[in-house]
Amino acid sequence: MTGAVMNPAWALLAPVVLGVLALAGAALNGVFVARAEGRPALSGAARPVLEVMRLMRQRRRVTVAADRLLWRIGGMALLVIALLKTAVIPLGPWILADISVGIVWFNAMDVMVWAGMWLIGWGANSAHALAGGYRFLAQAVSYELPLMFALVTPAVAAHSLRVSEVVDAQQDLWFVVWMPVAFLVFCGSVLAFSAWGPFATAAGADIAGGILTEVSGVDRLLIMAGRYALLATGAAFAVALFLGGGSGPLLPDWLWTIVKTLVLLAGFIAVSRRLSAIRPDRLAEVAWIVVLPLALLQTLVVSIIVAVRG
Amino acid sequence: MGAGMDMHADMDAHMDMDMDMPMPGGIPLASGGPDRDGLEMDVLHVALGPVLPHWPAGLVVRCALKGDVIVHAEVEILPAAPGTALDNPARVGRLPSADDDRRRTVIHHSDAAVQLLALVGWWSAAGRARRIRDEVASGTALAEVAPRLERLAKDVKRSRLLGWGLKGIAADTGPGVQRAGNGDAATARTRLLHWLNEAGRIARDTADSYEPLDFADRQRESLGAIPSLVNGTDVASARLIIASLAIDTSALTTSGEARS
Repeated sequence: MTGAVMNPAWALLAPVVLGVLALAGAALNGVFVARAEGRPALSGAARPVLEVMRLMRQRRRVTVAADRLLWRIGGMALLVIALLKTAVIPLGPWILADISVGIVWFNAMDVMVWAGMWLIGWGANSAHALAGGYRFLAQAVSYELPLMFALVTPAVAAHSLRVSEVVDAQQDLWFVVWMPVAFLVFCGSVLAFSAWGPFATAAGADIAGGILTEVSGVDRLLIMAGRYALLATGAAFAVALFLGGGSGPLLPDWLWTIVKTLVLLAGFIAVSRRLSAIRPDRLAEVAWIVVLPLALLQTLVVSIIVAVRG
Repeated sequence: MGAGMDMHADMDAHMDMDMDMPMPGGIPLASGGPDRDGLEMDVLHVALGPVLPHWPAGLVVRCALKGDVIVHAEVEILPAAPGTALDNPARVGRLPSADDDRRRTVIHHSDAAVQLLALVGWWSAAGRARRIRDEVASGTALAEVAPRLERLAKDVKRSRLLGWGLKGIAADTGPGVQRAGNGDAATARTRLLHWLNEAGRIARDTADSYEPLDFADRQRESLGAIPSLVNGTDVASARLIIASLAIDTSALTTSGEARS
């Protein structure tokens, strides 16, 4: 599996796969919303497609003295970042760029989300949007360090930051089995950097939609698609780091990767509607006092096991 | 600075480097003011309402913000159109009955719960409350929704995440308010539970032992308490506080008309 050199042309397929996964996530969310509102599930599943058509035709609203350049950059950023992440995410035996620091690449990309979300909040020149942007940063201060340690833990176990080697190291036992805390922290962080579910406070109803208050038309479409894409890449990366990548019986590796990713993505979306939002000021306390020490402890335990086994 | 200069300020900003006050988009920059930490902070004037999602219709809270912290607030209610048929069933050709009153109270309470649950981002619970509210409004028998209201109240009470998220959101407007069982000050959470429990009880009981809805005085009291309750809180907490007061602006505007 390691070191397979791929034709760069396959990079053109990555956005298609990501788009299908993001759309599947959006459709599932639509089904949940429809069911909660007592409408037929199918109408919910079709909702994302209709929403894409609606937003493509919607004229942009622009606020007074908006910082248009930075606003647009922020709006595009989420989707671009998700696409850049796909470079190091294996799909079965294939990986676009199996660089020696793949995990660091993923982490660098999700730090860029900070800038994207904040610029969306800043650019609108609106009090609610700006409050949303700052909220995201406050939340990011809470999730980023636990996320980094959650990313480091599989790398320690695999003796490598190369994603394909982390996958190979799970041939006998998936990492989720002996590093469950790191897995859970990673999943929580995926929700957090996608501003999703209990961590959607940057776009919360209590600040009138926050970063989404003023965005419309194509900008809104890019942001919504970007959030689903970030969720999907997060789920796919969790599959590679913790759920054994493409390993599984009967089906080919690439299909297992997609199946596992879809299951995890569905889990992300299902759990989100059932939880109330966690405001960043509340999150900070728990993240620094409970979650970060737990993540560190997980890394320590894994390191000791690795050292003892040699 | 005259209005004419305001209009030119944007265009000529690159030429008039000596202008002491930049006006991006014709809007003056925020002026400074001392902050509670002893720093100087920009003071931004933002009106919450009259139109916001999950916000009492027609309510305007004019805030002075430092960052996202409210340092001063003034309350106003815009005049409204006459109420709907459900507010006054006599208009649709029948006499008001005790059932209408109970129905109205259940709708009011579950509506209030919808707003607060939506604001805290608990969409599944908000959706349940909304469906109950809509069904009661469209004529479903009250006895049918009672068990669902009770289940919802139980789930809300059991949610630790919600309790944690609403911790410290005070919503005590004075002695007339429903307090927690042990006499503690009312909070957003105790009020939410009170609405759901009351709605469930009223929907189940046929006896008219419910809280009457003509509570314009208490509404006015809640309204008057907003400035002091939201002072020093951030905008999001202020939204939760105001939602937990469940202000019925229609009660206030119509009674205002009647008195004038």
